[in-house]
Amino acid sequence: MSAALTTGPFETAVGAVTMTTGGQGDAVVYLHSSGGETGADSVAPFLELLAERYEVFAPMFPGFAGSEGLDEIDDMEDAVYHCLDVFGRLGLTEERAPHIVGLSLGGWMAAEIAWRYPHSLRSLSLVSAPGIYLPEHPMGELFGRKFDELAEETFADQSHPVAAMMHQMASLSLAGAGADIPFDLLRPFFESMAAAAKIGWNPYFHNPKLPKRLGRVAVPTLVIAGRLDRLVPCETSEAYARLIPGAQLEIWDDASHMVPLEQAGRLATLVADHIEHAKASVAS
Amino acid sequence: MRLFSFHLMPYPGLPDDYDGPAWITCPNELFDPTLGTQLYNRYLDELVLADELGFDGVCVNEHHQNAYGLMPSPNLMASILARVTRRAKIAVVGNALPLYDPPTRVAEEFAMIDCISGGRLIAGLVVGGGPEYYSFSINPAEARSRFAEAHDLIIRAWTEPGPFEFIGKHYRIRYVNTWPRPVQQPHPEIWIPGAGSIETVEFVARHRYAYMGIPYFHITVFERMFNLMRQACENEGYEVDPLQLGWLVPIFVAETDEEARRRFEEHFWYFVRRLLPGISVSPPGYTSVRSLENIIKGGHTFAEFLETWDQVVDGQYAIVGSPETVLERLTANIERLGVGNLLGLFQLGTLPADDTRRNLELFAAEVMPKLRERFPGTERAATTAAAGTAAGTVAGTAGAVA
Repeated sequence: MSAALTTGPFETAVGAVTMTTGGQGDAVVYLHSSGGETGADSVAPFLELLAERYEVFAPMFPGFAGSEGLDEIDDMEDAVYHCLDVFGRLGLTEERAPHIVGLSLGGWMAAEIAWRYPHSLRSLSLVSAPGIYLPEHPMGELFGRKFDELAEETFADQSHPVAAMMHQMASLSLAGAGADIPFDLLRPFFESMAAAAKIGWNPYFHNPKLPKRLGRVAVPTLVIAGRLDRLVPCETSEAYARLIPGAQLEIWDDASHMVPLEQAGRLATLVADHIEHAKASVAS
Repeated sequence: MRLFSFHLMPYPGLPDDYDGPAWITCPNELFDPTLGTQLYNRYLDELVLADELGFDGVCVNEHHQNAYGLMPSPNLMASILARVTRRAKIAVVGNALPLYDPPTRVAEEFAMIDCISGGRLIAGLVVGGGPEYYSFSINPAEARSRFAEAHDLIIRAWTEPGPFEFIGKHYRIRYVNTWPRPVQQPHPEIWIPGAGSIETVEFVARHRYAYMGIPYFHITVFERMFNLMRQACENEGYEVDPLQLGWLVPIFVAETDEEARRRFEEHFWYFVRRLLPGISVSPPGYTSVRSLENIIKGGHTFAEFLETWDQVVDGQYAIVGSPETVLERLTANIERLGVGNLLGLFQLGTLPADDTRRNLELFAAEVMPKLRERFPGTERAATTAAAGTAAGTVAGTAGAVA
C-alpha cells in the first residue's frame, strides 16, 4: 500500500514553490535533479514508498515546475540558503532536522548544505551526484543535447516512460513540425534547463572547493551511483564516499543516472535502512 | 534609405568531407592561416571598395570559434576601415557585451574607432550568439542582465563626466573615466541586432535605438519582427522611424537573371549547408521561454532547412538577378517591411573575389541610384531621434532586458 502524496504551492522567501508532501514520521526531504522530476509525476512512486514510513517533503527548486524565485538565485550559495529557508518554514530544524535525499543536482545541493551546516540535517543520501571535478572522469554534457542521447546516457531501460517520452521528443524535427511544436511538452524542459544553468553552467556542475570541504560533513552518509550512468561517472560518487567521513558507498552495476525513477523500490529500501541506521547511531 | 555593405568574412575552405557544425566544436585545425592572410586582406578590400562605390556604410560583426565569420574582434577590422575609408559609416554590429569584462573596454575601443574615423562609427551592442555562451562559458542565464548592465555602464561612460563609481550586480568599477571620448556627441548612433526576442525589441523601442533583424528567415518572419518593433514604439508613445529598422539580406546582381543564379547559387548553398549548421544553438536561459516560443514558431523557416532554389526566391532569403529584378524585389520588400536601412551581404559563403567585386560594382551603378531616388531620406526625424541619448534617460535601466 502506498501513502497519498499532495502537491501544492508553498511560500518561501523568494516566492511560492511547488511542494509535494505526504506520510508521517521523521522528516525526509527529497531534492530533485536538473530534470525537474516532480512528486506529482515521475518520482511519485519512490516518494510514496518513503512516505509509508516517513513524512516526505519534495520542494521544487525555483524555476522548476512553476516554482517562483529564480531571479533571486545566482549560484549554489543562494541555492543552499533557499533550501535552509524552506526547511525553516517547514519547522524542520533542531530535533526535527530532516534526512536529505538528493538526486544529481539535488544531491550536490544536499552535500553543499551538509558541509556548511553539518547540524541542519540528520542523514545524507546522495544519488548520482555531481559536484566534484575529476579530470579523468569529467561529467558529460547536459546542455544543448538531443533528448534521445540524454535518455540513453541517463536511463538503463530505454522503455521507461520518461526515457520513451524523450525519444519521442527527439523525433520531432523543427523543420517538419513547423508551428505545431508541442510547447506544453517542451516548456518544462526549457524551464528546467534554464534553472539548472544558473547553478551548473560555470563552473560546470562542480565546486572546486568541495573536495577540501567535505571532511566537515558530520552525519551518516550514503552514496549511491549506477555504473551505467554516462552523464555523471560513478567515479564521482566514489570520490564523495572517500571524502565524506564514514560514508557508505553503493554502486549498482545495472543502474544508470535516474535511479529513483528506475529502481524506486530497491532505492527506497536502501535509503530507509540508512535512515534507520542514522537514527540508531544517534540514539546509542 | 541608407545602404550598407555587410561582410561576414566567412571561411570558404571547409573540406568536402567535413560535415559537422561550423560552430563551437568545428575543429580549428581546419583553419589554414595562409588562406586566412589572403581572406582578411581580400575581405577588407571588398569593404573599402563599398566605401569607394558610395555605400552609406560598411558593417562588420563579432563571432567566436566558428567558420561562419572570422571576426572574433570586429573592432580590429573597424579600426583598419576607420583609417582607410573616407566617407562610409562604419557599423560594428556589434560587440557582444557580456563577453567583455569589464565592458568599459567596449566604450574605449568604440571611442577610439569614432575618433580615428572622425565620427563615422555606428555602435552595435549585442547580447552575443547562443554558441558564444558555450565558447566563453559565460552563464547564458545571465546574458540579458549582463547585457543591460553593460549597456548602462557604456552609455554612462560616454555621457557622464568621469571619474565616477559604477557598482552593479555584475560589474563593479571604482573609477570609470573612459579616455578617449567619442567624437559623436552625446554618443554614436546605436544599433541592436535581434532575432525577434520580445525583451530586446522592447529595450530598443524604449531607448529609441535602431533594430537590425537577424537574417536567414522567411520574409514573413522579418515582417513579424518589424511589426513587433513598430508596436513596441507605439507603446512608448511614438511612431517608429524607418531608419530605426534594418533588413539584412544576401544580394547578388549580374547581367541577367540566369547569369546571376548560375554564378551565385553554389556559394549560397555552401553558406547555408556548411556555415549555418550550429548557429541556432540556444543555451538554457539565454532567452525567456516566452521569447523562445516566439522564435521557434519561425524556426522552421530558418535558411538551414531550405532545400530548393524556388524556396530561396519565394521566401526572399537572397535577392538574386539582373539589376532590374534586384531593384524590383528590393523595392517591394523595403516597402513591405518599412525599413530605412538595407544591409546587403554582397559576399556569401565561397563567393570568389571577382564575383564579389562585380556584384558590388553592378549594384552601385545600376541599383543604388534608383533605390536612393525611390527612398530618399537618410536622417532620423528629430522627433524620434534625440531622446534616449541623454545621460539622464539611461540611468536606472539596469535589468531592463533581463
